[in-house]
Amino acid sequence: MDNMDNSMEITNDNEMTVQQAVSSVVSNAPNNSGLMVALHPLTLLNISEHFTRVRMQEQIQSPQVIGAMVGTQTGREVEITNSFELAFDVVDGKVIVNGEYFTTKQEQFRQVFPQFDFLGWYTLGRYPTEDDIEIHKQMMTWNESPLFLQMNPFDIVTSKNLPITVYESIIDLINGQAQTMFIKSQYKIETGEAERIAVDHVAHTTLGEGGEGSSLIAHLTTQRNAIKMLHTRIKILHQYLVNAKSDESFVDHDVLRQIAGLCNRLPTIDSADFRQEFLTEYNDVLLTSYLATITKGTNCINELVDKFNIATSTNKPGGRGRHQQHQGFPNF
Amino acid sequence: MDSKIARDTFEFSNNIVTVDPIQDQIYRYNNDEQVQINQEKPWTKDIHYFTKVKISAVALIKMVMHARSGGNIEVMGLMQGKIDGSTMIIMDAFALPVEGTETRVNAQSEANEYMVQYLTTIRQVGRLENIVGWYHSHPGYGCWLSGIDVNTQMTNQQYQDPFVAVVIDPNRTISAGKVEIGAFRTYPAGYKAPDEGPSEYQTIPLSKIEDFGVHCKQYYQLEISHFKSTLDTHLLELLWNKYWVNTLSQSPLITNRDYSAGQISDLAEKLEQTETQLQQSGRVSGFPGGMSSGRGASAPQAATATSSTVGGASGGTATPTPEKRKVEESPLSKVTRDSTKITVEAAHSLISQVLKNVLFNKP
Repeated sequence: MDNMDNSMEITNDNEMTVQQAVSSVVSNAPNNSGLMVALHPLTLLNISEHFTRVRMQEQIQSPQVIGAMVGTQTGREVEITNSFELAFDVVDGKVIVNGEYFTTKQEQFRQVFPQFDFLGWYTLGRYPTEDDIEIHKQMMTWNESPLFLQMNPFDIVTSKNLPITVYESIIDLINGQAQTMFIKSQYKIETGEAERIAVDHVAHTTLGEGGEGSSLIAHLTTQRNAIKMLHTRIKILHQYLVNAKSDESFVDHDVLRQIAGLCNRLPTIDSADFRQEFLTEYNDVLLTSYLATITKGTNCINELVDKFNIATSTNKPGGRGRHQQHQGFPNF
Repeated sequence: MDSKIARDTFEFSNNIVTVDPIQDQIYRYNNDEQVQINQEKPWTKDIHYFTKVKISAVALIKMVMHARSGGNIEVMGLMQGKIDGSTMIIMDAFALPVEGTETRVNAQSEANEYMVQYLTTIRQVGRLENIVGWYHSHPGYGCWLSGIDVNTQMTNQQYQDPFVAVVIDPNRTISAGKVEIGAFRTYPAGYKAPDEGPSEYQTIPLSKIEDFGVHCKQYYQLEISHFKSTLDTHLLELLWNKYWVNTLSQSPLITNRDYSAGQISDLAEKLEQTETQLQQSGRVSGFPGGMSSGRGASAPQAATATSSTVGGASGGTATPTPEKRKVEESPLSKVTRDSTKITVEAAHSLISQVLKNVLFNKP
């Protein structure tokens, strides 16, 4: 209870100063660097775990948490796969990142994952501040244009979107002075197959492992959930179109164009080659199931034969030895 | 301003917290407690002391991804955590720069330098837990401990207890759509485990089945459960909004082609073997007394044990000994199970493909 009161007061105070900080550090210019950032869920979970851990260890309300992000960059595509924590010292109220720690840690990471490079850094908070710019400048020694990711763990409960913002840095001329500023960047979530399964597994497992009827049910449930999401979104689009037609809502041509483009892409693939491949795949699976059914049938017959043999041969208990003639089913 | 007040009231009255001190207590590392537990060493008195393993969300994902990134090569790493009663809690995992761990026992010692350096560095950022186990991957051949693994783990348990061994199969994970993971602890050498009966049956390729059968009695499995922080839960809910697309778009049938092909060829070999076995025993009488020697020497699950199991199928069911309640299976029924498993997985993937076809291709 007390914690909640405190945090409310703190935010009220900060609200004032933060409003100004927003405009001084974040540029409102449109971002046309064309950078596509793909974020993996593992990074986010790492950050959240870091935060929870520091919070529980040191029992402070809003700990300062800083870490580095690694991944791969090919041209304009940036893929952030992993992250690790960074050590820092607070000197005169300014945060200095421990360079030695960073180099050691990066060395270690390189040994196991040689293809990952340092791409940026992360911290927690609502809006970027002057301090973040300072830290950002320190990061620039290791990567000319690092990305800055800010996670907001405080507003998380009520927002529907992920409380993550990715910023790039640009040098802007303000009043004749070159200043580093942040620009918001677009990002999307990307997963590998194994990652998706693991994340799914963790997300939908409750504390008491609910036993499942069969794996088929589980599989179909996941598919159904995904399709449900698709369905809700399509419904929204549909609703929007109906409204637009009856002039109830504002007609946005950009959106309409996108919807038209989407509809034109259906059916997605319909060439003869695709049909061929699809049917081949289908037949392969059918063959496999045929094989399994035959094997199962053979097994049943085998068991039946054995049981029959036992049932009929117990009529003559013991004493006759091994040479007793076998009655019952002839062995093939 | 009004909306802010409204939201704060909402949060206040519903007592929603981002970090729940009770649920997230597990993230707190209490050094004194751990030191005390390490001094008492209750596990030395009871071989079966540890029965459960709790793995954190982050550790699990890291291990699965590392295992997958190794492709068909076995990879390994270490896990950090703490003890809580008879549960081993794993908070985090990190990878080690060694490969091909199935061919040598000393792979772990190569990475000693890395490990020591890693531990010193990580302490600086507040991760204070000790190493409580190691994990490695068995790409495509199931979660169990091979002979070398058993040796490694026995050494570990001798010198570094408390220690647990975790095995992950990334190929099976993808093909089955759920995480294939197992946690094990070995018995000390010479200890004869009480006959617990076969644990959940696993399909194991022919080339490895001998290794499995010889050692499967030397260790026992621990129950695995998972946990995550409140913040993790929130994040995951929000993440689902984004990655449902991937659920639909990914197709395990295609990604796992090599693996499924391997499975089928393995199945073919097993079928051949079964056929020869049945032919041999078919000529000899399947009389209950006839193959009793084979039945007596029944090592469970060792499909390489030839006619004993076939004889067992007919004889064992007639006069089951009271202690050995476990049902002995003929190799044919094992093969049936394997083939069913392969089919089920393939059918699942096909279902996804068909669904997508219907959704996006039909006019």
